[in-house]
Amino acid sequence: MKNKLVNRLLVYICILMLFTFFANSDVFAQSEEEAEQLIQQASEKLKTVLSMLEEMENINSELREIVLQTDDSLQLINEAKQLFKDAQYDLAKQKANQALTQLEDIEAEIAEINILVIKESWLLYSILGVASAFATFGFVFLFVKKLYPWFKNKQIEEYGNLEIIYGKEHGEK
Amino acid sequence: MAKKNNKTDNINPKKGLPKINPKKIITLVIVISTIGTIVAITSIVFFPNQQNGFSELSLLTFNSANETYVANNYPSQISKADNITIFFMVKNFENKIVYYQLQIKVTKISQNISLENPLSLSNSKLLYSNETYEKILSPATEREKEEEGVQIGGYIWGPVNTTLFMNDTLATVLGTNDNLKIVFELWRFNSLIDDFQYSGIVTFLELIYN
Repeated sequence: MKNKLVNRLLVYICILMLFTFFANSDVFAQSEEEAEQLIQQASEKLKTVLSMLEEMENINSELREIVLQTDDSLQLINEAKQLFKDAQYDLAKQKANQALTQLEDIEAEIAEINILVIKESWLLYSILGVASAFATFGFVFLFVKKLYPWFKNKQIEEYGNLEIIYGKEHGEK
Repeated sequence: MAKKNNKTDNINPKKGLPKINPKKIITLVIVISTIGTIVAITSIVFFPNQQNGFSELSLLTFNSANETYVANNYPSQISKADNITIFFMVKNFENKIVYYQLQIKVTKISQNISLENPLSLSNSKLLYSNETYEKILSPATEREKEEEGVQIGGYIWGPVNTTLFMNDTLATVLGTNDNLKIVFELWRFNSLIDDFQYSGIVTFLELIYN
């Protein structure tokens, strides 16, 4: 009777251990998949941010600060990749998630700067347009009031200087 | 004999240069300069300066006597027991933001280094994985371009302390040779191909393997 009880207990323990093992391995596999996905997402976001940064023309101190933050995110992604290789999936997930959040903030910041740049460009182009219009009007005014009369006067003056000799037109001797 | 003349032959202009009014010249100069200024401003706004730049890669050692980084006193030997410590530094003078990767490879001393193509992994081995040395750098400003020596700034990567080592796996690439090259290749990320591209910027150390 006693032996039977011990045997049953052993069987229960074995079943419990197997269940725990399979449950854990399932969680482990899920964690691995999640970490891989997060690293992938963060890497894609990094490429998006990089292409946005490459399009920026005026690299001022604000943008240099953003570049430093982007580099910080890159280091986090690389750390996450290393942790993933070492099968430390939870830590890898944490790092990748941190990088992703940071990169999303950077993306929003760059978009904000771009809106400001567009506004400034419009202002600059408007000033240039108005200046060009004034210059064109000025030029037309100068042409009509000064240059054309001066040219006409000069033409008349030149013609006035001409000496026409009559009587030699038809081969007269 | 009758002389044939056309109408123009009959017109004889008076000799001497025509009178030039200084006011007219000033007006003309103002008009030309106004047009020139508009063209110049427009070209600056629409076609910004896109001159080509370059990247700089250097190997340094630390001089503990005066606590400075110097480009000399490089090590000449490496063994399985003794690792080598060396510093590398990258400067971005490209006039744009660049994402760099540094690849450190071990190869035979007889292996030629090309500026066109990187060392193939069939005749070399990577010392570290690709992601180990990566950095995004801002371009140097006009003032920073004039700086000399080892400075600190957003356009500089380093000096980065790196350990060079040898083991049996790496030694297989050498065959029977005792001499080796440790090659530092600088790669740049190209958004168009979505991958790193060899920049042709390279430097190396020649070492005796004990």
